[in-house]
Amino acid sequence: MISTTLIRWRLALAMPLMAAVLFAGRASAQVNIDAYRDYFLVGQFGEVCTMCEVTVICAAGDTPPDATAVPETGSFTLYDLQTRTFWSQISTIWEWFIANFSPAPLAARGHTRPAHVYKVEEGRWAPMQVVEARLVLDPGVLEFGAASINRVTREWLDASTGKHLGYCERLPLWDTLDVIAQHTARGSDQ
Amino acid sequence: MKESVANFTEVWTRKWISAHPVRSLGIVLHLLLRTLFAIFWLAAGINKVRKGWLTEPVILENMFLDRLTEMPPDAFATLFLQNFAIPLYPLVAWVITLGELYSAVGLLIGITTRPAAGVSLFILAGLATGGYYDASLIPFFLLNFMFLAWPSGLWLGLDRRLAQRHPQSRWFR
Repeated sequence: MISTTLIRWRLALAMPLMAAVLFAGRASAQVNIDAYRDYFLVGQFGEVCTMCEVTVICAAGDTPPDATAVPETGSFTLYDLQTRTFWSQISTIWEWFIANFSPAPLAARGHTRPAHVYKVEEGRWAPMQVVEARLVLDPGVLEFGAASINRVTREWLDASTGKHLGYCERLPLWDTLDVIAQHTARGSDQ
Repeated sequence: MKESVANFTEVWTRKWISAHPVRSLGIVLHLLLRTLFAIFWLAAGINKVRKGWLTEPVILENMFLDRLTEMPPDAFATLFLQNFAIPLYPLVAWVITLGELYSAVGLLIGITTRPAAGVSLFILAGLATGGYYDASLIPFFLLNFMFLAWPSGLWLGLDRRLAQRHPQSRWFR
């Protein structure tokens, strides 16, 4: 004969197990990165990771700029996307849970992180500006305050008017950071 | 020793709860967090099985190679990936996947709860060492230390019964 206590005890164990099985069944229902795989800055493992830094060059014109290195001359804008902030990183736990139930709101809301903006006019570097960048997957857009990037076409746009400004490409991170450091040091020496 | 294990059943009696309301609340909170943590690991482990970490672990090698491009060349994590994780990626994939599943089951039903928390801590430490660290790992580490510190499997879980059957074993305490 099974005592009431034993039944309660087994129920207490079975409930979280059942919840886990149900929850785990939805584990594959995370943000479907395949749908966004070809988007700008989306890698084979999805959105830009929390601790990753990314550098992007945007320049006027009807073709994407050369992305092998930071040009020594010419006019362009560099976006240096920083790692997510402390609390933004903490929030990824909650985002992960939400993504298991419905990835759509997360894809639409995106996430924010600081970005350093370097405007270069004919080889002359303006002082760095800090903006809050918003990385969204649905619709695919990267927002940098006054400008934005279409993540499908890589088109550089005026955020308020939608006017075409040019195109953007991802730069090699470490070489670009070296160049930025050189110019920043040069700027502070002047 | 059997008696001491039996004492843990008292935490669910009305008398004990009335006498120790704050501790009771702490125990319930502890068990709730343990369950959530276990569900998290379970979902992560199942996800990895579904993505083929056990059958096609090359996916992990690609992840590591991808991560290498994002880390400073002189970082310790870069050395760790280059000299350990990448050459041994099939083993790493198995250890992580099976480790997550074991931790999940252990913490969920309270069987070998503390060793399960230990394995969980080992995986977290490996993630952090391999460069996959961010602030979201902090709560996980704190929870892990909490699961190691208290014998929660004796409050609720199969550990209580197994500890009564095998009083000399440290696996269930």
